[in-house]
Amino acid sequence: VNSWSPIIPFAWPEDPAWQKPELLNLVQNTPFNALIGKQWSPELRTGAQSAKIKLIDQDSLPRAPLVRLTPQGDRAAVVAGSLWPHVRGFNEGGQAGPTGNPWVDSNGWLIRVAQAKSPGSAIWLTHTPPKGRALTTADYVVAIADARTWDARWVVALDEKLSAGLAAGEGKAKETWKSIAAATAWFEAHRPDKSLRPGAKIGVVSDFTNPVFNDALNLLARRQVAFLAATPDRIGSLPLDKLSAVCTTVEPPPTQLEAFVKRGGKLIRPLASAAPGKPSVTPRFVLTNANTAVAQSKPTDPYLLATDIHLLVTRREDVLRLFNGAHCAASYLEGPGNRAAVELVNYTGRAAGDDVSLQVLSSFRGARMIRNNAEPIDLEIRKSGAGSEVALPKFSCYARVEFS
Amino acid sequence: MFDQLGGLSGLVANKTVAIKLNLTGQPSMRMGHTPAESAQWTHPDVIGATVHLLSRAGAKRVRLLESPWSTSNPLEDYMMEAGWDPRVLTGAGARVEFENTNYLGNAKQYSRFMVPGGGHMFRSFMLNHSYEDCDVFVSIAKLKEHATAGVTLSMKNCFGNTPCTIYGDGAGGKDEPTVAPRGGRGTVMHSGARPPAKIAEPWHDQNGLNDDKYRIPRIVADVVAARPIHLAIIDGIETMAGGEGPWIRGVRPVKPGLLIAGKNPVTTDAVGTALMGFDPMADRGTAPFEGRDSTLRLAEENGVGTRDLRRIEVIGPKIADVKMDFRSA
Repeated sequence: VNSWSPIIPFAWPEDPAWQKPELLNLVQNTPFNALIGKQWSPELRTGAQSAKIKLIDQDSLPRAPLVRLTPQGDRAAVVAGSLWPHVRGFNEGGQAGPTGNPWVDSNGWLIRVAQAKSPGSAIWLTHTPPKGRALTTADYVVAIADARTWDARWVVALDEKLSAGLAAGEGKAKETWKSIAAATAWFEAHRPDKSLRPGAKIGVVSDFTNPVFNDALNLLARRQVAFLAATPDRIGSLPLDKLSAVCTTVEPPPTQLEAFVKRGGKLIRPLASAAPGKPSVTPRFVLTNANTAVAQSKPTDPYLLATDIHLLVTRREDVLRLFNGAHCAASYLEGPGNRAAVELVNYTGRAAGDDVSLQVLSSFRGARMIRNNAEPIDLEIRKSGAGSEVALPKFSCYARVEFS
Repeated sequence: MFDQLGGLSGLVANKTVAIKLNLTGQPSMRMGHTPAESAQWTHPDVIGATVHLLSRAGAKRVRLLESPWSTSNPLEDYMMEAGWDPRVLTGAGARVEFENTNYLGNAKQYSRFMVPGGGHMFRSFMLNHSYEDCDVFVSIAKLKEHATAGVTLSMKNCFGNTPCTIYGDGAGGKDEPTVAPRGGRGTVMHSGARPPAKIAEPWHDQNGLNDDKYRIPRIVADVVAARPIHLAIIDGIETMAGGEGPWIRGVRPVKPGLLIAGKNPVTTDAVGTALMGFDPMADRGTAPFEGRDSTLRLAEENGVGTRDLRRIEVIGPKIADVKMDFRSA
């Protein structure tokens, strides 16, 4: 157990107005037990000490982008490059149409890879609220859910307006802060059962230094494709006996994968040199044997690479599907006793909009939905092929469906 | 039902049959929680039963065609995204194939289809080879209203014959066809903002630019004149009222319990239109053609068939006994 896992961090604003020790009252009776900042007045230090709040020097947390992230051990691995999670608007390059999907900035894939690169570390994301945009409480809840759903933490940071409002003691700002603290507390108190672990049919073995491949992982996550990730030296952490396919950027592929292929597992090599082979389902890959797909040339387009990987694995191996869920991201968990859960983040932060249906690959008899702002509810299961489907009641930021 | 039409064997024995499906919009899009096949898509049970009967009637090969939204991925992948199992369709007949016709596909070149009489809007179309490499062409549509065309039945289904690599949002102008389709057909076909890719003839009717309710009915009438439909089937068992897909505001599920088939697309669509509670002789200004032209009338003018119910032999229940008023449903 990482001793940093219980730390629930809050980014103490740099504004000089926040050097007043009485502002520490804001974090009293909240789950936040550590403040991340650059400078602390003596009064603030004393106040924090007596309140048993940990102060962490921001510069003592080396932020590294994914490609340079190294094992941290009993620390927080702080990933640079995480994004403010939200549905992009048209003015941000987001595109949508009557029969097209919106673009969503989300961090689930990044967290999965960071966990693979820094096993055992607490993963922290330190993105800050976008400037010049009026944020709602729901925006903050989405940011918290975006990290917690993949078992990481967002270092809660305030936008300028909220920060100034709290420093000035404004009532509306205090209400927003209370809601943020309450949401943080809810997510701490309502984590899925610890016996449920990330599940997938696809494994990824890589050093995660290829930007096209990393972008493709992001796009696979946007397609609701679950994957388990490992660095080459920790390939043993992957449950190869449960996986249908492994995608590796390591050339030549690790020898452990030979037995996997012999057992019938698919091996996808997107960074391999072109090799003679039979045509595959995509023109950019050839089959060098029945189970191994090799790229004809180095990929340059992450969208095509993500599509190709999905095609080569086939959608039959999708552990979950979302309908009308383009604004959501999903994390699939499975556990002993034929149990599973799907955690969902609604990046719009609004309960309005289309009805979302969730399909899972396995057959279940019961389903229960847990939401951050409503009572749990039992869901009716509809058989769908070999799997199960549930119609989800509307939810604003986060929901978890537990299958049994 | 096919027996009542004179049987299928005379039409399909030892022939390659191509079936254009209606799988409009994205597979992950639903009207509420209603699966696509019970709303905007032709139902796999209807497709599978048709494939089975065609195969049993002696069809040498059955090819399932669709131009799926913004992708050159295999059609089977698209179906799986909707939760379908394409193996069910493969197993419904002796030799069943799938092809995504939204791009060049398995051929080396596109096929040119001339519109007899010169067409309302286009003199010819460039289509995926699958529409040429078949002996018999079947359109399996859904019984739906349509925001642009008023109704979408066996003829409007064939608007999707046109590949988006030539007629789509990512193509057109002075360029060669794109490798992969991107987006829909809004820019070239609906609004006429840009001509198709240069290998295709542009439209010759310069009226109705930016008026898709003028252009689309004409284009559809031309497409079905250029690529004739031998068998029209309309799935109206479970469908939707108010529009063609979940992206139309106010759509709602309906269960007319109707399956319609005919050997002429205009007559079949005329019966389908009547079964939805509309007059197939109606034209611009009258439901379902308020503010738009009637594809039925334009196809009739192209000599494809009649929309006059007095001249159409309807076998089975009387229209008046089984019709559903889509506007009040």
